[in-house]
Amino acid sequence: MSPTSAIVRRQRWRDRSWDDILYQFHSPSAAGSPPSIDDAKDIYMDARRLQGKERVHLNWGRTLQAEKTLFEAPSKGRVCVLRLPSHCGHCWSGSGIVGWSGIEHSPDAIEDAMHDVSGKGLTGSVVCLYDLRGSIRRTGQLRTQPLSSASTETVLETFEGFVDQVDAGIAFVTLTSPDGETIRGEYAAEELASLGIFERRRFVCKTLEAGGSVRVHLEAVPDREVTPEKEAAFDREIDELLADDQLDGEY
Amino acid sequence: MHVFGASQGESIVLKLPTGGWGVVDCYASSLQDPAQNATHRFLVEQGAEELEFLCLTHPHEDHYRGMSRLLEDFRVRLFWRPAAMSGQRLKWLLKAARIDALRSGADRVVEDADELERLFRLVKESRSRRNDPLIPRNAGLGTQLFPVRLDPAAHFRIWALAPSGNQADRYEERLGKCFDADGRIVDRLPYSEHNIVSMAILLEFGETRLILGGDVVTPGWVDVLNEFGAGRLSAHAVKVSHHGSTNGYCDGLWSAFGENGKPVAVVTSFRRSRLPQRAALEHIREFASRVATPCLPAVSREELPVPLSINAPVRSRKALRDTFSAWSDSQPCPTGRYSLTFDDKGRCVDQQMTDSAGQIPL
Repeated sequence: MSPTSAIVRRQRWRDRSWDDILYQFHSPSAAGSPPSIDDAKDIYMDARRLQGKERVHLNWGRTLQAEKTLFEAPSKGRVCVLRLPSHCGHCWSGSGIVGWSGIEHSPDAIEDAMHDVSGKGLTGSVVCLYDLRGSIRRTGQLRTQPLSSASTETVLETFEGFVDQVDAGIAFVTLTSPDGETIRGEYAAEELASLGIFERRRFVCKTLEAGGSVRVHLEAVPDREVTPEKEAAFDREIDELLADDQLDGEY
Repeated sequence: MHVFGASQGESIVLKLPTGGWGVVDCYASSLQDPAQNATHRFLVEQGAEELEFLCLTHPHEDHYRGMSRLLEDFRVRLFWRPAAMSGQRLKWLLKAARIDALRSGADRVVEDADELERLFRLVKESRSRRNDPLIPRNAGLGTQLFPVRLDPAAHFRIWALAPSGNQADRYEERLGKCFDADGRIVDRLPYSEHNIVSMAILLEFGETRLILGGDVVTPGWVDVLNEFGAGRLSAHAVKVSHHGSTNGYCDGLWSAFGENGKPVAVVTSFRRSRLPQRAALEHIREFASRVATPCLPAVSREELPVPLSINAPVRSRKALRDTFSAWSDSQPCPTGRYSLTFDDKGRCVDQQMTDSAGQIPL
């Protein structure tokens, strides 16, 4: 597919809702056609290109695609790509891209979309891009494989992760199992940051098994929104609390 | 000097020659259950009803969790905090802690931010009580903290060794950069940077000298050596700075501590960051008569294997171990106590410890 046709296709999909996209994708007989693997590749390449130019906010989760990682920017989403493991008919190392939309996505909208997906018995991650202006250029090679040969991954364990502290480039993390077991560990802080996982922040850690090998999958838990109103209210509280707390010039 | 410590966190309770009690930092694993607050429990057991002073060395939760409970249940006369933790800087600090906690959504971060705010709310309330109001004091290098009135002839005195003006300014600058001109948060202060502003204190009782190092890190100690003077740093006991991290001292510091004889070094653990570090302990050991800890299990040098249970598939745990150098920390270390009693001639006349405390084998 040429870059131009990818843009045309994207524009054609721009005003569709998530439900439309999901329905359309999972029901190829419905009006319109699902994105082809070429479409999906183009979007994926867009994402990588934009990420490289730092035009994608790296602040909301991640998806792991073999050696490649994408991130979401749900608050300013212009084009969204939903990736589902092994359910799209075309899989890249067990994941695929479903579609995209031009609607503005709040974190809640994204979560709702995810809920819709999981309600269909699927799991996956959302990649949400914004500002897709500019030319599309293929920058890499993707491995594709049909669904029938796609490897499915089994979740062995899931932990709630927390980055306790970063010191000298090392992130000290705590993993807590659902039954309260505590596991401590270390990870390269820079690598975690590239996944959108920062100091004093939570993440989800899963051990996934496929084809006899086990890998660890990490996914950031998005920051909760603090509205300007809430921040201002807190300012007032602090001002009141510390109204007479003055520096007494001891140093 | 009673040093409390467990897997993480530290608290030092001081029985003063004047008969009163003082507390430097506090750590409670649970904020709800006073039984989990070893400092509180100990003071109650000792029959203490008031504290001459309460000192917050720096705003890390492993040094302030549970401190509000002390303010609630004991009459505190003096409250010491580091320079750069008052006025606008304190507003920034509390705001940054609260907003960060809200964004994070992690229960423990929210609880810690609440505790810090509660602490300063109680300080405010105690300042305004009618009888014998609490007196807060900002401490910097060279501040005489006790007695309140300067008395060069006093037989018992407490000095602040840190933070220096340089470090207080540095902390303020870093903290200030987290806010825009309208006071809105635009960045986060890395967690470890709160150590920049940590207090360290020196207690002088006749000829006896004890140093409590807080979490002062290398640049802070360089300032102490330069400004306070190496010749004034000899000590009979030292609470090791920053849980035995290699960044908890600078060249020449420990030789200054040991100038007039090797001090006892007491180190607390910060297990989740793998402190103390062996290299630091080996360095300290050169200059100390012994290196002890209130909680030996927490500083065990054995790499703990990730348990392989029926519910934890071996393959999964192996992947975690490979990825994170992971280790199990599900068995909490009980809070231990290592106590030293000195006379005013620099002699250690008594030593007591709980079962978990002891000398660290190196």
